[in-house]
Amino acid sequence: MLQPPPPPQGAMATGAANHAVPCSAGRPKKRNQRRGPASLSVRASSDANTVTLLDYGAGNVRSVRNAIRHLGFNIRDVRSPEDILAADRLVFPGVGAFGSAMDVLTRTGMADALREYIRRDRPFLGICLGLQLLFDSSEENGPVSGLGVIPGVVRRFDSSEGLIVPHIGWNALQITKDTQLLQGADGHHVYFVHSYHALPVRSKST
Amino acid sequence: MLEVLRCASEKVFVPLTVGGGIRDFTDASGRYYSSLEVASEYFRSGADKISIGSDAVFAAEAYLQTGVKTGKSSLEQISRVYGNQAVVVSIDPRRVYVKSPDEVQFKTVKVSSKGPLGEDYAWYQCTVSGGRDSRPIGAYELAKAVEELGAGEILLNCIDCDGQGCGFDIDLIKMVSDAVTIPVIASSGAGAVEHFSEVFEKTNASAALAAGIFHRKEVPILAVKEHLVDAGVEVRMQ
Repeated sequence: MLQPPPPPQGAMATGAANHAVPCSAGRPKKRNQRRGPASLSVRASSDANTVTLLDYGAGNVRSVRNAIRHLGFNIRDVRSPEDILAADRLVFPGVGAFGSAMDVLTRTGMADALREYIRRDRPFLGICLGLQLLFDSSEENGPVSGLGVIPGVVRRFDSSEGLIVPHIGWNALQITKDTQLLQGADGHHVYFVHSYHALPVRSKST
Repeated sequence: MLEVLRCASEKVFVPLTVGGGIRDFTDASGRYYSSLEVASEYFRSGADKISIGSDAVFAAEAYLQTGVKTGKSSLEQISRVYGNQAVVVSIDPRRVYVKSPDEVQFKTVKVSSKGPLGEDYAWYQCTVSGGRDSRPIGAYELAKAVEELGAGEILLNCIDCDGQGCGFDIDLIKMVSDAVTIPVIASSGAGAVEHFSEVFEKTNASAALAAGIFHRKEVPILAVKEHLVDAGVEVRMQ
């Protein structure tokens, strides 16, 4: 017999509580007032200075929060799958392991919402694991299936030839394709910390 | 601690690693916290990585004895949820001279300068609780075990060299950095810019750490970086 799916509202409340407790003391600004079912209707009233942030509860999202605020934007936290669909621009940071992140996304209904949001071609920035999760699968503790938005797999760097993995440290960039994402990064060292790399499969249309 | 971390992470945009107290514990009110919960609190407060010391030594000893990965150690639990790259294991070994490698069951190195009784070899005994207690495991054995258990990086100290300013323990760092494929951060003993280039020339260390000489302003960080650039080591200069 089929079990009813866990109530997404409850699941979100847990995620929110996790987050609100440790941050309340040091938080400089009031948290977003809008929450709950009403968030479905907020899109029309959202302003150009708001970035929606997907914090699934297993990563250092604070550094991303600090960076977004540093750039002068407000943050709206995703509390339900509907918040994803209502976002004007969505940032999905991920420090964490692939498998446990997919478990959370699937359990909370976020996985489907993310697929739909990206299918609608809405502005999206996936950072680190937030990018890797878009692929078909990852070798990390797996293979584990991903969101399947981008054809391809996420593979571990091969350390058999003496390559040190994880790749950690400040390195220079070789920019092969002009992109807004790397504006201002040219000529600077950037910090890497990863064991995996995403390998897209080139389809006929690209 | 969490408050310091929160404030620091708002201003500091280099990656932060937090260590200390990452183990299971029960607070005054009787609430039990797993090491994973403690680490999660650190991550949510702005840490990019956490560092484990004593707990990793006990986990490695248990693993080497039984050959079984229980999945229950803090090292395994945290790396499973946050990824290997988020878990640093800090090793605090002490040099133990021996006449011959056969004297001990641990990996020894032929030392570059002999021991007080003319010994040609040494092994590096791991310690816990800030160096107070010695354990029956060597730095080499520990490094290999924690790599298998999910550590993403090793911070390699040396009690004998720490604060001496006489240079890194090249014998130790070479032994450990040759034994693993995860990055090793050399620590303990830096006292001059040449010590940094030496450790990169003679070992496979991925990074070198110093604290005292920078805090006391004996050696400027910029001087170290400029020296390394001259020595052909890639360094971030901005």
